[in-house]
Amino acid sequence: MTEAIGRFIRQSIFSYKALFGWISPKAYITSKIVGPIFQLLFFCLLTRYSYGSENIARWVVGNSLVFCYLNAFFGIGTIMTNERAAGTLKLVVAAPYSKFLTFLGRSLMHVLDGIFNVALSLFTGIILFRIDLSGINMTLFAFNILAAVISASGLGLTIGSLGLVVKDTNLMLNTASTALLALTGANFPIEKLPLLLQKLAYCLPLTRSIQAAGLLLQGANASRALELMLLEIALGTAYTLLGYFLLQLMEGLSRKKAALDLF
Amino acid sequence: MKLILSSCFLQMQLSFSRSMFRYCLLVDPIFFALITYMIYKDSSVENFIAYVILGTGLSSLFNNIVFSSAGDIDRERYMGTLEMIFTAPGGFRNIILGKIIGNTLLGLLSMLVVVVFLNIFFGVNMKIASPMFFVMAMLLSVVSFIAISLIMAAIFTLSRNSRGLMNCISYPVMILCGFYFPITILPEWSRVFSYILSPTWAVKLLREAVYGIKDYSSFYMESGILLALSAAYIVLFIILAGVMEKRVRVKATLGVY
Repeated sequence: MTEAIGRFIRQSIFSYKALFGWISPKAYITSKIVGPIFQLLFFCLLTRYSYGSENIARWVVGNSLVFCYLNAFFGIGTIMTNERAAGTLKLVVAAPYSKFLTFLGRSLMHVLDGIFNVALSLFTGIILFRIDLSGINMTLFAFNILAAVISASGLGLTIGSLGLVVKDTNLMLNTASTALLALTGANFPIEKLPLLLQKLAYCLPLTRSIQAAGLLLQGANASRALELMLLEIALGTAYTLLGYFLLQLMEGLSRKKAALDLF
Repeated sequence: MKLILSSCFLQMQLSFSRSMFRYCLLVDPIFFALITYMIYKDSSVENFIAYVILGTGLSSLFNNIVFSSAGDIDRERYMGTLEMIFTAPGGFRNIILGKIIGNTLLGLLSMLVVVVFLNIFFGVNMKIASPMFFVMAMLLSVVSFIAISLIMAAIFTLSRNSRGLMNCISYPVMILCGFYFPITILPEWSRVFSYILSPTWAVKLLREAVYGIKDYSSFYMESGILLALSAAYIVLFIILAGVMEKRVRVKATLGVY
């Protein structure tokens, strides 16, 4: 049992380093630190200018939470396409080991890295915009970050499983990540959206986490915030299960169509 | 000229066949237009539609040329064809110029996409008070964006870390050049960078043409600054291209991925 857990963790670390391309710290710094900081800065300056409010804590928190898409989508979501590019996808599929566990194992480091990313963005936002989070329930807030990352990872897993048959998942991943910026309430209240898009927003990860963060910032109704976080985790679990189902389906399809190594 | 045109048309076909380019051209501008429109919708900022449409259009154009300048060099390197186009008798600079013009022309479609999207879904129109000056400002902007793209292509040919740079360059430019908000909200020290970046002047001229030009001498002066900066970028490109050509031959790293 201990050996199996050890193997699970080892595989997670190795695949994270190898497939996510973080062998070079330069790539990590530009893509995961510098890029997100400027993105945060851009949206916070825009919302501050537009809403004319000095108190932009809600937008700092919302935009920071959104950054978990970097790992969820471009880490977990690209596992299959990266395996294909490395020529190892057929080995993964043919290995006598659960594909789902392989997938989950490879997601572990991304979940941790995603939490780090959100925390770093928050820290930057707090420093740059002098945000005061002293009155916030930190335990619930930390749990909210975890819920957001789990939920986004679920969607990443679902899109990633399509990578077994779809040659280019980049379009889907980029669309999904921009949709998170636009539809989850990170930059404006989702009530402003047309009704159809509001319904879509509630099917996306992060919407509830951002709402919960808003409630925590207001210092009101911790039980409602907790409820939203649990719903967020439930949504993430639903996406993970959908990802599992799709993975089984796509594995069968890719074997049938012999599309595993096709570029 | 024939080579530049051939390279331009081939590039347009190749770019449009890539899903990521279609995303940058069609999907990304729509989402950005939606975000900025929704943020500005109930704000007290007057004439915000110009910010939304010009901001989204110009940032998409910028992203398209950056991603393609960097991405195309990267792709040529990955496919092992960079050495071939580098040593082609037609000249590497001409081929790259053709590619950049092709991507820039396609990139202009983004603005059209945003205008159509906002009109259909939100009934929003952008009235241009000085259309002739708008066309003039747009032409100057396109020349300027091509000049920026040339510099980037030279840098990306030299460096194999182009992808990282490419991923983090858009937002600083959007902030510093005031695509979505005036640069006066930025700290004074940072405006030095804004003024040496030609898109700052491009977006300023376009916005003035949309609102209606009040001070013609100021408009002409700003146009002159934009032209001067574009010329300076082209000179910088020529210098960089010389350095690049020498260095990649000495180091033999052109095709090293």
